[in-house]
Amino acid sequence: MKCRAAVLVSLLAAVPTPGQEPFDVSGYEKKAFEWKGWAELRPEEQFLRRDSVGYLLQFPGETRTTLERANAAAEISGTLRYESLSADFTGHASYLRDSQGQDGDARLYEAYAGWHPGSRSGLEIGKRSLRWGKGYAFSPVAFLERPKDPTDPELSREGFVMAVAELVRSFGGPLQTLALTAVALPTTWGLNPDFGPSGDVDVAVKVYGLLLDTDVDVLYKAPGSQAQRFGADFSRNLGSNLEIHGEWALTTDAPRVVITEGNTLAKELRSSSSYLLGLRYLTERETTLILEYFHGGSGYTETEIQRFFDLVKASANDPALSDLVARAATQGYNRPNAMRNYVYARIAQNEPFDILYFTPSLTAIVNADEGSFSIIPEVLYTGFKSLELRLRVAVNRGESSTEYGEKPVASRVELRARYFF
Amino acid sequence: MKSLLVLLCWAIAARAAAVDGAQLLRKVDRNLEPESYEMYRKLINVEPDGSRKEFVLYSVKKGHDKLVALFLDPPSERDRATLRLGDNLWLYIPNVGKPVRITSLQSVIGGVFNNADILRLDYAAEYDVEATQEAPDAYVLSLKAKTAEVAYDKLTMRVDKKTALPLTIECYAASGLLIKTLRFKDVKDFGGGVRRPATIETDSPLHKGYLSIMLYAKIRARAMPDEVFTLSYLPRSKELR
Repeated sequence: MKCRAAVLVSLLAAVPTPGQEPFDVSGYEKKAFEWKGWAELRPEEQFLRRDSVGYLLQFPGETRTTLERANAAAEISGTLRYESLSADFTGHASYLRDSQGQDGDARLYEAYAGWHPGSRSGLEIGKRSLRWGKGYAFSPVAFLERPKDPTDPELSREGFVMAVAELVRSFGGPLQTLALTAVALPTTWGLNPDFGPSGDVDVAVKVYGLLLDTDVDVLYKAPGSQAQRFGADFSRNLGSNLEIHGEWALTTDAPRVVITEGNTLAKELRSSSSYLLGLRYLTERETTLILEYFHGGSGYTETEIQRFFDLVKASANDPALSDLVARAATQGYNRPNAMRNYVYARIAQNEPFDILYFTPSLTAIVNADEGSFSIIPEVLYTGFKSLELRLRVAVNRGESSTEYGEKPVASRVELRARYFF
Repeated sequence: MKSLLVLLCWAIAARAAAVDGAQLLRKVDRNLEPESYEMYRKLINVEPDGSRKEFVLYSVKKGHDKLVALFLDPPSERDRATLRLGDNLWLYIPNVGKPVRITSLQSVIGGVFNNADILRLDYAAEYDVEATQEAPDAYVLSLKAKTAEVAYDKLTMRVDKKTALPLTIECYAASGLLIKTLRFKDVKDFGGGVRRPATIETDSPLHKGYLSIMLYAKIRARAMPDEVFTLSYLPRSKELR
């Protein structure tokens, strides 16, 4: 009996209590090659709106009212280093299966070589994802990027092939940091075919300053494969719980596809300005509010979008219009947030009821021109070591002939389980 | 007898007054870390049911107001980095791909740790000494936050007389509510003249049954250019290790 007690005591003594185990950092020190990644499964149920314009476009001739989808995706990124040289990559693969069929895709989101002789300068060449702007859901000054999805702004996005040079200096006094970024993005030699017409090199410059505790960027993109653009943005804390930000962009002589009164597709050149104003506010109860107002100067007016909706409805009875509808949809009318004025609001509560790593949130995107909206309640749990669970519902609502009222999906439920490694 | 007692009290008060609280606080800061340093930390959250979640952080600091903290573990947080320049705070999330300015009270990770634990500057940079008292084996510093930006309005710091290292720190809200108590343990020689507690345990009356532990490793003085503490460098902060 004594012997058993002694064994038990020694076993208990051998179990380290939290904090007593050695903290070995050798596994966390920099290595010549490092990589990481994630894989996710995302089952989804969509409840469809048969009388909507979006349904006519996406499910022509069908009668289904629901759609079950199984999504899977994986992403791996890595860095290889040798002294001041480095090579970075991010590979992304996705797979989708539903009752309409299946589809898979694999591509490099980023793959570039870098030379950083010190902390003050750097040169990177290859496929690169730039992220310009201060907006959370929208970014009018994101001149060299693929559009952000406002319903999920933190999703990674594919980059473009480019060369990026950067110089940075720090100072004492009111100007604490000054940084110059220059970018060249070619559409020659078959590069970047989805950026714009081929045969040009788009050059852009960004000057950043941390001035009087305010982030300020001034941006310019010379005419090239895409139109000339000027821009500026700022971000500043107005207290320990309030941040404000804004962006402004002017685009000159940009082509814009519109449906004419005679039901033809016309390309017009026009200059327009877009802007965004936003804030991030944290309450004493750790509720975070993100609020943004976005005006897109090149967006469609209510009359213009109405003409598109009418055309789609007419094409259901007149197949001759199908080609025109398809071209109008792909050349602008069917892009996300294709109209002019939007309000984005997100409220997230950090760990309510003392439930650690649990964040419920509610996101709303409202079309401020005609009042239709999308509401996205969500719960996120990150309490497992490498697994993140997210359950979200999206509800699109609006009158007939409004943006969210004509979406094919009335509501949708999805569960995302993402495993990190 | 009465006059002897008065004399004794006077002597104790005079000795306590002889200790310059502000100077002692600066000494505590330098004993805890060099002014410019790099270090690794492991943060462990232990829940009442015994389950735990660990985070590993690499941090660099320069001068009194520049700090970068980089998450190395768990995999879901890897390469997430935070830059602090005085009261300015930015968070870089690899997927988002750009640093986003956040408010100084915004929590950068879940759990009971907050930014004050992860992105702490020198105590003397954020607090004024309001009073210094003397106990048999420790000095007791009453500290008041210099601005409303600081997470805890008041601190009561017990400082070991022999080592000038903190023993406990009680953190109070402006209302006087005790938010948490930090207990410094396991004094260890990290080399390079750094000898300090390698473990800080935190408990809170607001989260009964929860325990937070912070383990320290490889604390050493390191000189870095100012440009390391810029938005441009933040996505590459993992290169500093």
